[in-house]
Amino acid sequence: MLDEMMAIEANGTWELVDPPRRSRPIGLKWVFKAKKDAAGLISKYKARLVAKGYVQRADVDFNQVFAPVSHLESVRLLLVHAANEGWSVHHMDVKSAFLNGELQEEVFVEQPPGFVLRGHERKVLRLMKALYGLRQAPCAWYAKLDSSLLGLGFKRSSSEHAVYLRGEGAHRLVVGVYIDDLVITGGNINDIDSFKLQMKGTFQMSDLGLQHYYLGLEVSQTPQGITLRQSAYAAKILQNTGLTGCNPTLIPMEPRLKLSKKSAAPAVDQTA
Amino acid sequence: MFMEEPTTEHLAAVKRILRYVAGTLDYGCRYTRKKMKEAVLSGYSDSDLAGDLDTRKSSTGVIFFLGDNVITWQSQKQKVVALSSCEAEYIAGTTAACQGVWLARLLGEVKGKQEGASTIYIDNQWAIALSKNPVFHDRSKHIDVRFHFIQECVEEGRVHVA
Repeated sequence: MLDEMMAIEANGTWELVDPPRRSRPIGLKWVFKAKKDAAGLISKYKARLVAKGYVQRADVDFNQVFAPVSHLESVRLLLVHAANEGWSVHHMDVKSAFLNGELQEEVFVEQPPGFVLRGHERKVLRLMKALYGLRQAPCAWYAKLDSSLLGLGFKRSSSEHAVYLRGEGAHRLVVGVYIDDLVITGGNINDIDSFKLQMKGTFQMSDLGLQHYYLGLEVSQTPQGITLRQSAYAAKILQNTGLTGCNPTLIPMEPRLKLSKKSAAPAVDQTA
Repeated sequence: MFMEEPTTEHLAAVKRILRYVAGTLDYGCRYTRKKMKEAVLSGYSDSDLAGDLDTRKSSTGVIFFLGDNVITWQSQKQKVVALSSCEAEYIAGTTAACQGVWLARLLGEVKGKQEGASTIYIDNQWAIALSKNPVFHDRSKHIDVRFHFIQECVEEGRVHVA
């Protein structure tokens, strides 16, 4: 909890002000999570301060909420292109991405529970940067990332607004954005590394190295090419449905099966 | 559409899908490198006439490859009732054209080159002929304007059909 407060304070997220006359400040609350590792053991406890964004009204408290994300098709297109060219694909993620978003609107929030300044109990906080839970947080973050990437000499693809391009020929660098996940690929490893350094200078980033897990896709990269799988996800589906040991088949549907609303088969017992 | 009042038939079909998942746990997409030639974008469209017994609507199937590597695929029920298999194929071809135009444009941008065209392989001679040659006759004059998008794409060279 203290870590989160320090991160927020260090970020210049808000300033203490007298309550505004006309608007009601938005409440804040803490959300606690136990993070588990791949083996299912608790690895760390995390606290996140969130705004109760559900009280915000369109056009009054916010205007734009749209933030583009890359389609899975374009992610695959990038991967196919990388495989064709023999490029390696790297992965980075932005820590606490939404806290970087700069707010266009005036937003007031109450002081966070447990951290009310003594002697200033009636004051509220005016937000400069976004908080998780605010309706405009994703949009504010995307705007920030967009301007940073454009500032680094990238061009945004006109047919997919979450794909950014820089350089020519052997120095081509392609970046796909999914909220706070960046897929980076290019012909020259030095270009990728220098881009990573530039990003680390702009945001708090974690460098996940060669991409091996992205949006549920298990990615494996070899000199021969790239393979995508979802084995862990598929195994989990079978586990959830209790069909782990079932008799496998190689055809997903009974041949020539036709289903109709006029079916005379008995209804499923939904409580079973 | 069978989400309300599912019957044991539907449950059996779902279980069958899960058994398929169990049999294909390690399956995935493999993207391999072909050094010699530049990969071309090609799409395939197919349709199933009146596959839905209740509404008699057809289904569209589309898949796109870059070289040997698959990029995207879709299967969906068509929004209108097709009167013939040719018509169902033509509607499926249009869906493919929409996807192909977008993919070609994005690929062009990623490569930093002029956008290329994609080739769409339609499973029906009449549909191929109609998309190349906008003649109207009794059997095609009722087809909705939106499905003639593919004719425009072919005329402008953004899509080739075969």
